[in-house]
Amino acid sequence: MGVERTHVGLAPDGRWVSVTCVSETMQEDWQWGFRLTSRTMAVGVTVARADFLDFLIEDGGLRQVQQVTYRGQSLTLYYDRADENWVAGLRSTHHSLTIAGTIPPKDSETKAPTLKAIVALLDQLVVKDVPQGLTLDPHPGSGITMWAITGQKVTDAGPITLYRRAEATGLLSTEPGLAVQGGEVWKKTLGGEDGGLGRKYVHAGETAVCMIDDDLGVLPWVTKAGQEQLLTTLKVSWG
Amino acid sequence: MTGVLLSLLVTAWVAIALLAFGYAGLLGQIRQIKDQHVRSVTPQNTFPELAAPSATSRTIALALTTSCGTCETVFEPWLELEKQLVADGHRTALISMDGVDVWSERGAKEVVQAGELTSALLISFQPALLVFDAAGDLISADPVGSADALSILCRQ
Repeated sequence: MGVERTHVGLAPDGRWVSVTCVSETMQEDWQWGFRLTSRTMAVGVTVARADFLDFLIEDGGLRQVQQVTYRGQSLTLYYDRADENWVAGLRSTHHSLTIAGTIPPKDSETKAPTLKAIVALLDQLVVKDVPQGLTLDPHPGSGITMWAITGQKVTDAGPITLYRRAEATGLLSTEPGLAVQGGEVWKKTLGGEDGGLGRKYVHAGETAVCMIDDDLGVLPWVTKAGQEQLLTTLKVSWG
Repeated sequence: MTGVLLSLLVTAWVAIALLAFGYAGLLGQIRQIKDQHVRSVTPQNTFPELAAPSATSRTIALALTTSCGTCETVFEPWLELEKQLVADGHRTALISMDGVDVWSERGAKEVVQAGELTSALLISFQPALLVFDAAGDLISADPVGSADALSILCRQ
């Protein structure tokens, strides 16, 4: 039997997000992902706990290419094993900031960004790191936009991906869903039949939409009762 | 009739002259604003102490702190690279960003304290390879993430 848990975090765009649900477990820290576009670069960004880079290095087999000290913090450029992807990681006090992209083929006219280009990008952002979250604020006139921001929380009933409702209307059905305490719920299958990986629950509240992987039969600790408990008690607010 | 046409012609010329004066005034104001902007930006990027010895040469400086790991990694290779830069007619310097001079006793020829420069050297990263011209203007600043990167930058 789970207990009611509420976690409040600061999203990278400076908005406060709170998640309440009854669950046996819920990951304490937050992981955020989004796209960032500047006048010269289009990259994927992850904000996660401070040791997330260590996990990436170990699990993703990243090798260090260059490293500098940026505003007193370590900024490292990595390539993956196959030299197909680059990752720039800034280790901050409470969180890590990871910027990543694809390395163009050797015969391509475009090149992977240099450390100078990454530093130039960071110089156009005000990065503020507090225990509740790490925020990025583009300088006025920099032309930088941040979009498709998602949050992630892992519970014993499956991982939850959170979206701001204004950015996730495409996930919602036109048919009414099952009414629950925190909004409506739909069951969906995305991307065809793939052995269960595409099965999702979509939970929509007033300000947020959540996608919960239906891992029943995939992860041994996920139970039907746990899923029902999560879906019927989940309340998400995206400020 | 001729009198009316003549007065219209005079009025038109007066209008043209007024527009020309107005345009010249506008250009003057734009020039003034530009000058003010240049005056407000230039001092931050000019460091007379780091001026290159001649118009055809450069001062190439490595900015380091004692707390950065890569600063330690690139210091020894820098001592070798600066020999070639000096042989090519450039001036070299090592800029201590944190006011600590451990570099002189380890072989650095000219160590400049960032805190003693006439303008604030606002570089967000270290190590940094900085290039100055004969006026002391900072013309480029590159992050140096490895000894290889330093070698490549010094050859450019």
